[in-house]
Amino acid sequence: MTKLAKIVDMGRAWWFRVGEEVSQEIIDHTKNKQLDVNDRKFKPLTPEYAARKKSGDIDRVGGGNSDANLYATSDMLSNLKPRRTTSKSTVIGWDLIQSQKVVGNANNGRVITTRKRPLAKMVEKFLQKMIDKQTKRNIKKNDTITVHKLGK
Amino acid sequence: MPTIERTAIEFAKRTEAIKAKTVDYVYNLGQGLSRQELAVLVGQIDFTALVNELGYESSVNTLTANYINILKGVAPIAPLSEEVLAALVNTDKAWYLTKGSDLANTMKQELSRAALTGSTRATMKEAIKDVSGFRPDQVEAIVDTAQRTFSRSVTAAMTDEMPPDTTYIYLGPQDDKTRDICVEMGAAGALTRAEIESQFPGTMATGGGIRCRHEWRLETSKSDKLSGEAKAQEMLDDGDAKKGAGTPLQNQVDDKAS
Repeated sequence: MTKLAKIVDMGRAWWFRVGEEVSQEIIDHTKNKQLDVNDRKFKPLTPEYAARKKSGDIDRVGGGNSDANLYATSDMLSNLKPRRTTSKSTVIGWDLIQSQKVVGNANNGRVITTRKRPLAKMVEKFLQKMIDKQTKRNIKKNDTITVHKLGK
Repeated sequence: MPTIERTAIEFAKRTEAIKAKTVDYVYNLGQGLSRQELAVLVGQIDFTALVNELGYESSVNTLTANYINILKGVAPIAPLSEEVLAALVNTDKAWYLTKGSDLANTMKQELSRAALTGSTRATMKEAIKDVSGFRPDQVEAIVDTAQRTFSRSVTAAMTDEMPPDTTYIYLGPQDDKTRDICVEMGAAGALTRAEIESQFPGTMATGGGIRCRHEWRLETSKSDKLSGEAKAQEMLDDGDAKKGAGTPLQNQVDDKAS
């Protein structure tokens, strides 16, 4: 018999890994797939800004890329990471400065996360897979066979 | 909640005000004295103590108190104790006080010369105008770096709990603004914590230095798409970046502020 508490006991290190995996999944979803939290393409950049971004005319921006992927200096996207991890959960997010940019982008119609939908469906599926995998692993690890001896 | 920008501007302003007050102090001291007498007197004054008395030390205390609030905003409940937080802040505080002492000694030198030439208050102020104080952008860079260092330290503390064979990648952009040391770390690929400490000591917390956009992060299933390892390797192969060109963080701080 497996104790339910042990099945859901994932441990702090596992939650930290989940936080990192999900953070990097969101960065990939935003930067490489160029999708918002609703799995829709981001609103295109204005032609002027796209040209400036491509030319590298913006302070600290490397240049050569005019995609609408919320990736200029990488300061904001790379900053998404686990912020608070316990043995029962992990909280991912941005620091004070970068979170202001996330809000600014959302106000501008380019949304990475909302209270109603914190994760894009694709990312949600990824997280669910991780949880299922670890749950199965925990069941296997904690499963014990009880032998009832009948008779002599 | 204080912002980095506001904190930086306030500190830079206060430093400039202290420079002006120092001139007033020396000028007023010279009333009724000959040039030589004033020059001798200036030579006897402990300028470090003077600038601290005129508010430099309390200004550093205000700045670092704001630091703590800014840093707490980074990770309200981080696996770092208040003691560790205080230690991180104290390291920077000591640096500001040393810079204050440098500032005081340069002012002493300039004002001593000015005293000998019988300068007016305006010429004295002119003499120390270019003595390096802190520009808001310099302070902002230092506070911003402290915040990033703190954030990396939080992650580093968390990695203590991970198995020793856990690997990390150096996440961040590889472009024409990237430092050589960051290109080198980016090209290094996935490393264990022990490998990072032996090949790139201290970088778990400091990254590549001032305002570094990179961080050692847990290697995940998406890391190969995000690390820029291939691009970094290409930059090394093409000679766009040199191996072994890393600069210690403190030197970069000194370069930036000088």
